[in-house]
Amino acid sequence: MTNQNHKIRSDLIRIFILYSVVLVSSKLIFEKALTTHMLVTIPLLIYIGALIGYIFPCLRFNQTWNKNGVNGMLIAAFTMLFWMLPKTLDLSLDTPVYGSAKYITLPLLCGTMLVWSWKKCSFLAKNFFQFEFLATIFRFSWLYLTSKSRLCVNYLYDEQQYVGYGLLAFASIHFMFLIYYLFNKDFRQLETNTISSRNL
Amino acid sequence: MQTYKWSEAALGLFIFALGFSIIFFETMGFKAFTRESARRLLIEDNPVNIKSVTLQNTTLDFISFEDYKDKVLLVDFIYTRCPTVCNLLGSSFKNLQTKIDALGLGDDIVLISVSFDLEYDTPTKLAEYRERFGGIAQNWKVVVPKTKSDLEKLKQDFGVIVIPDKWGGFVHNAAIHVLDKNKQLVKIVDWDESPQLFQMIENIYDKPKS
Repeated sequence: MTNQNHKIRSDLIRIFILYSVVLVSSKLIFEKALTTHMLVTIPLLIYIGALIGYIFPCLRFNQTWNKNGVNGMLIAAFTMLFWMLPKTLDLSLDTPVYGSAKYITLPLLCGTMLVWSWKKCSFLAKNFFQFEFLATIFRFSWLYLTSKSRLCVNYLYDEQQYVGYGLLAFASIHFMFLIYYLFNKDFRQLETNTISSRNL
Repeated sequence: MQTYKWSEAALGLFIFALGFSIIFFETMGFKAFTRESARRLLIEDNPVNIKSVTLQNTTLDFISFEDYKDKVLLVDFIYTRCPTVCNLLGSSFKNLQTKIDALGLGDDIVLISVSFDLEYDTPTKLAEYRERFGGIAQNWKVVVPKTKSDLEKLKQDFGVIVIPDKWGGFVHNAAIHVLDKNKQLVKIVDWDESPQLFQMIENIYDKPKS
């Protein structure tokens, strides 16, 4: 085996160990409360997928179907949206089909696609996805905060309030970072469809 | 300048359509975002056969859903220690009972309250529950399943999920479940939707509203 294959193999083993730790801790601890279920397990699974994406740089930069990066971002966006619905959160706790689907699709279809597609996106596409993502998080936090009935069958009503505030906090902090970035980056060489604008 | 590839754009459109349709199917046409609304919508299209289990009545004998052939059953799930929702269910059942007797449908409709608190709810407590609302025993039975596995079967068939709350009680997706004469679950209504419920019952019986 070449050196590179050895490195890939050891990285994959490390990621597998991390994945099993996340799996066990989610099932035992994080899925008991709605806040940690949404705000800890889902980001952790996406992060594991991202690590897998970093391991394969050739796949990352030489894909024919994802040259503009938008296709991969679309896949990631739909996967994230799918797993934020209250119905799928509930079903992932009760049915084995949805439960295993969550632990497979969130790393592979969301995290890996994010890493493989973000650098290739044009400045316009990055803007679009950033703001749409923030808007969706704000909408979901509004939904969880103002709903009069219990949305998730497996969780109590107060947990909805905590999740609403948590999502609001996450989106607000992300938004503040975005505003700081907008005011501190030199955008004067901005031109759509050039390679230099991909570094913005 | 990067050449624009139509095949990539087509693939992007395809991925968008695929994702959109997956979410469309998952939420049943954007109508069911929660599991509870999905349960109610699914029942209306595909009625579920309810398996019969042994239920202990307040009079200490055992009944089951099959004993009420050719009657429409309205089932709800309660526990007698509940300070909130089950009281609303109880009083709405009392109102339903009065209305049913007034309409003369007392022989055709039976109300059943099933308790899922096996340890605490003895038949005496169940009778006390009905007393609280002034209900009549003739067509409002308050029962408790005999064994835990029977309770699990019922919960699974009806789609009722019970979770403990922080104060030693329970929280559940409370609603009134309508079983038709073939013991199929045909509709689930909230406890404050009585007009809709009566419309549905009249549709089953084709009786004009007096």
